[in-house]
Amino acid sequence: MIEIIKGWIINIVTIILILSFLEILLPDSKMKKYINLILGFIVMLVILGPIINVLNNNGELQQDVFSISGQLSKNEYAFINSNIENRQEEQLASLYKERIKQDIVYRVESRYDVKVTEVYIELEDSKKEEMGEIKKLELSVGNKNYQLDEDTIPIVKIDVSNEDINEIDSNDVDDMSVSLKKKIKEDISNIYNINENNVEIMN
Amino acid sequence: MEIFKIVGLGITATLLAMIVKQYKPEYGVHISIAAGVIIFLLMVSKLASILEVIYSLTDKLDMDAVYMKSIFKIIGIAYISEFGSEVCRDCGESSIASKIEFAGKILIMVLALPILLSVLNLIIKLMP
Repeated sequence: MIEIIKGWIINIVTIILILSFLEILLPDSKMKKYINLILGFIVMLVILGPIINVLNNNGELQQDVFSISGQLSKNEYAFINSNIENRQEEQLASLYKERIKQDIVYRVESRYDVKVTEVYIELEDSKKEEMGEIKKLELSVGNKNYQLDEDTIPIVKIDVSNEDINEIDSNDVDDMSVSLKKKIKEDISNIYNINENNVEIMN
Repeated sequence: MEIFKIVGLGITATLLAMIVKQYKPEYGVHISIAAGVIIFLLMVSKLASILEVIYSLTDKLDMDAVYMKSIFKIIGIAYISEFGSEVCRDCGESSIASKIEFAGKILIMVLALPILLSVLNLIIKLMP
């Protein structure tokens, strides 16, 4: 019993001496009060030492510190990781979109005598099961022989979400023939597995 | 006498910086940074020996080594952030200096949090 008390008192005296010695080393700044707080915690731990040993006699406190700091760094890395994953997903989606656009432009331009000036694609949300399916597709096509400035740009619109739209605008009076548009529309809906009933053509 | 060396270096650097500042103010900062680094390097070996002694003392102590390690890390962070923020403040960039101090505080908190939480757990365990 006397031995335990002796060791305890030596511990307290040594830690207080060491910490007051370390305080000389501290820079005189605003940091000093934070460091003093932590030093106070450590003195407290040393004073409570025997009680800790009685309560849990297998050095669990150090394990505690390790597990808490491990938890902290795990949280930090999870945060960094989620950022990276989000960015990767965005990049992947934009790359995918870009490829589909190139593909559509290539197919349409190689098969028909038209020029695709703009492609707008809306994809299915990444959270859902059918991720990556084309929800909406708008094509702006012009005649290849015309100069770009004079191009009238009719829009071939393929809309998956609206089931009942299947009308062909009758007042289609520009040089792009209705049949050509219909062909393009059929072609695209076949390739990309979109129901043809959901295809809409308008100017 | 090492202190003469250091004081001489410091005074020389100050005079040099004052003279240079009249012609090229930006070079004064370079001189003060260099002087600070040189003084620190001159003292590094002695500081290392002091820390070594303290570290060996804690071995005799019936205490976990984790605490001492984190205290040394905290003191190092405090010193380095102090050095950086003082240099920034000398150049008149007190906003950057306060940002450096902010970063130092956060890093100290990250190191101190495990100790704090373990003390808290302990106190909770002490309750019957």
